Amino acid sequence: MAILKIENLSYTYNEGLPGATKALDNVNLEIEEGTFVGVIGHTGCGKSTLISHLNGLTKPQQGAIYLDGKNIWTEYDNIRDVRFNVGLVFQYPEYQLFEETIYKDIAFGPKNMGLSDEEVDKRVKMAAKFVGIPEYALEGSPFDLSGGQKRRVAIAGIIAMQPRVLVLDEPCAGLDPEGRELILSQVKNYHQTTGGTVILVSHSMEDIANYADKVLVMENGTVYNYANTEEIFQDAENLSKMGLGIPDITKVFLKLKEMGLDIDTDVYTIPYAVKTLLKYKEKNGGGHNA
Amino acid sequence: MQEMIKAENLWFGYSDEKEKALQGVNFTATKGEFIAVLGSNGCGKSTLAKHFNAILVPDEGRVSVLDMLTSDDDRLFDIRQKVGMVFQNPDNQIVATIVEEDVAFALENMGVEPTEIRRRIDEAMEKTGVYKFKDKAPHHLSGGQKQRVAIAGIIAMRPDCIVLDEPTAMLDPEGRRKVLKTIKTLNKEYGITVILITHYMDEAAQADRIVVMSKGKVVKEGTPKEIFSQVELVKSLSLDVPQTSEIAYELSKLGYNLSTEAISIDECAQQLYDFLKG
Amino acid sequence: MLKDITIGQHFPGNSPIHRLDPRIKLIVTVAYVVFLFLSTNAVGLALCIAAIPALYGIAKIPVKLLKKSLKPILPIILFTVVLNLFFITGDGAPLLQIWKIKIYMEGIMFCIVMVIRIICLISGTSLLTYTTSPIELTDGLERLMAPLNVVKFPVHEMAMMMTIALRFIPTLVEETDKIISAQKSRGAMLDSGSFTDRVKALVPILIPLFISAFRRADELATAMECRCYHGGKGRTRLKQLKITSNDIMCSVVCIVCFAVIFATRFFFTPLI
Repeated sequence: MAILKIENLSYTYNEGLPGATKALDNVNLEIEEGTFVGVIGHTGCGKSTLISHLNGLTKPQQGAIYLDGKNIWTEYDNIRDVRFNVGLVFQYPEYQLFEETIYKDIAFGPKNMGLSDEEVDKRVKMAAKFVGIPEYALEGSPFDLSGGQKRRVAIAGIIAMQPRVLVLDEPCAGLDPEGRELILSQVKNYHQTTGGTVILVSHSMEDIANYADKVLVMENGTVYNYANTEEIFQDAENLSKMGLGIPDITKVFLKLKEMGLDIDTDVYTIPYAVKTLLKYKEKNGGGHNA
Repeated sequence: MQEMIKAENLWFGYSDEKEKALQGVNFTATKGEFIAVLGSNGCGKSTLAKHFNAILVPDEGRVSVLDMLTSDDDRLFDIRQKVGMVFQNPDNQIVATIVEEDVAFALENMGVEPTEIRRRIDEAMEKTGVYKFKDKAPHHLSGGQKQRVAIAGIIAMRPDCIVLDEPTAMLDPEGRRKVLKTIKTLNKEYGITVILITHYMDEAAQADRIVVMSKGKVVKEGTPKEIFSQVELVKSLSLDVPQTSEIAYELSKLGYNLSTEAISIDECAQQLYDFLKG
Repeated sequence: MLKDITIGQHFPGNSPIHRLDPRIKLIVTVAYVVFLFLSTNAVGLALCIAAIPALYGIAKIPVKLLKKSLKPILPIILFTVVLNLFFITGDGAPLLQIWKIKIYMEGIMFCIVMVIRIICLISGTSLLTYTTSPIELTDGLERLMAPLNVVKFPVHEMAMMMTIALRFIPTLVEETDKIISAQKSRGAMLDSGSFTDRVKALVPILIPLFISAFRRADELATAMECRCYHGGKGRTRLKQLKITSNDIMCSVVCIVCFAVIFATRFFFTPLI
């Protein structure tokens, strides 16, 4: 069964007022437990509105969200139970840190869940490990850390709640390539170790291509496509036309096709590109050499 | 060619840090050049940028802008007018509540006559493509639009050089594209020297020259082709190479003879085409 | 929720009131408030009340907005009404007596006048902000207060602070909303629990907010330095304020109106 189900969800900002904008328009979606979902779309395509519905920060105007088959607004006693199960990491999450020590900040979520001290302790250490913060550093102040480290502490604060779904909104925004790579690989590792569901919102097609199993492409408040990563990239030409930043390597392959080669253009990672090129050469190149 | 900015044996340390942020940097920007500065976080590139318009002055060594020393207090405003600076967060550099008022801010500070201010801000807003927002409030604009307003505010001073410290880091792809296009126009059409600090390799690839920094030092300089073709070196500095260089690099590792210097999409496609047909 | 606040908001337009010089609008508004409190008789108050719909009509500001900006001060009005009603004693016999509480005619009158004054005060000052952009407002203030420069009062700095505050209010409101959402996502309880619980729940919101405000201030200061900011000395302005015939005419009309309102004092008996 799908862990999250979104049914006929619509949402309009400033409803009934001049300047009303439809952010979501009849969205239907099912997310299977354990998938790594990448979400991509222009600014204003509705992805932020969608994810703020997933943990009950925004109440649907129309439609419903189901977690484990239960409507999050009518079949749960408290919306907080939903928030503990769908952990949401906001953009620039480092700006939400407030405690004196890293340990206390990571513990904020688990403590709000009303867990015992031992359980909180266990979870803080587990979460810190996932984001690569050594145990001896936990008593330090989060404000002495570098930008990338602060962000990892903030992510740990959500992981420590052990949510069944981890949602990350642009977790790499503003980081250097190394910091970007580090956070994404830690998220990937978290996904593989815990088997939890991960939803990654990103503007970077490269990041999504490298990590996601399935991709959700949104446009104008609707679902443009939701499919496996390979299938999404078979449509690379249209994605490019939509102005989504497709990976350079995909652009190169589109160019090759334009130059008259009969080559697959669903290429989205370097290793896959190498494989496709070699396969093509084996099939066609030999003839030319002969 | 005239030297726009010259830093010689520049040392600088923040009082609360043990290690010096800049350790003997030598750097020259020639007039009209488009330079990209690369380096991982904390390598000292922002600190270096702040020396270019005398926000910081060297502990040791010297920085000069068009032969004016940045340590010379009498020339402070001349230097700041010649070298404008744009920062990462567009929100935190817009002062006024109306776009055109903000673009006029620097000119008001410089004591320019109102009619002349009007002429120069209109021109600056045209060049950066924000004229149509001139009566809007900044918080109603997108990140990319705000960043172009910030650039217009600098361009209005008619600087010879503009230093941009990760101007696209907080923007979406659309905003990034437009900001970069604006920067390139300023450089190519109006001859403004551009120093662009960035984490995006595709942006750096469009520069005339790349300067790579690491741990407070300049470790590598060269054209984008020269830099990105050294895939291993770039990766060892915890930076990325464009995927176009990487594919050539991966194929050459397998024994095929491909050049990692083909970094534009067209060059790369042409090379792969020849490779497949050959 | 924070976005619903309308007091102090600006509604751009092109009415004669919008085009008025901000200095005149400021002076007229202050004068209006003064005369509002000087009017103690029914006719004077009626004129003050009549001015509001007339001016809103000229400025083409929908009255709906007024309702919205009055709503948040409703509790304050109620509070003063109740307080005055029960505690003002008069000379005659009480109109009504419930247990120990006595209500006098004087009390009722005072309440009515008070409510009229508060509503007119809010409506009048709101009209100023509705029709004047914040930048014009600070500009006007800066110029009106310019004589204070002589006594070394930092007029320019004050105006600059106001401009920056106005510029950053929407940014910080947005940021506050974001931080609240982020802490709610970590299970923070903001809308339930005892009073102390709620005060405690503010800590995770206020600390990040302050840190971010300081960071912004720091970055803004550097950005301003980069644009040659060095205080008010030798500064010019893009927009020059000029008194037009429109402004002079309006001033004359206002002076006449205020004179009439003031004159009513001598012809009618005060209500309180």
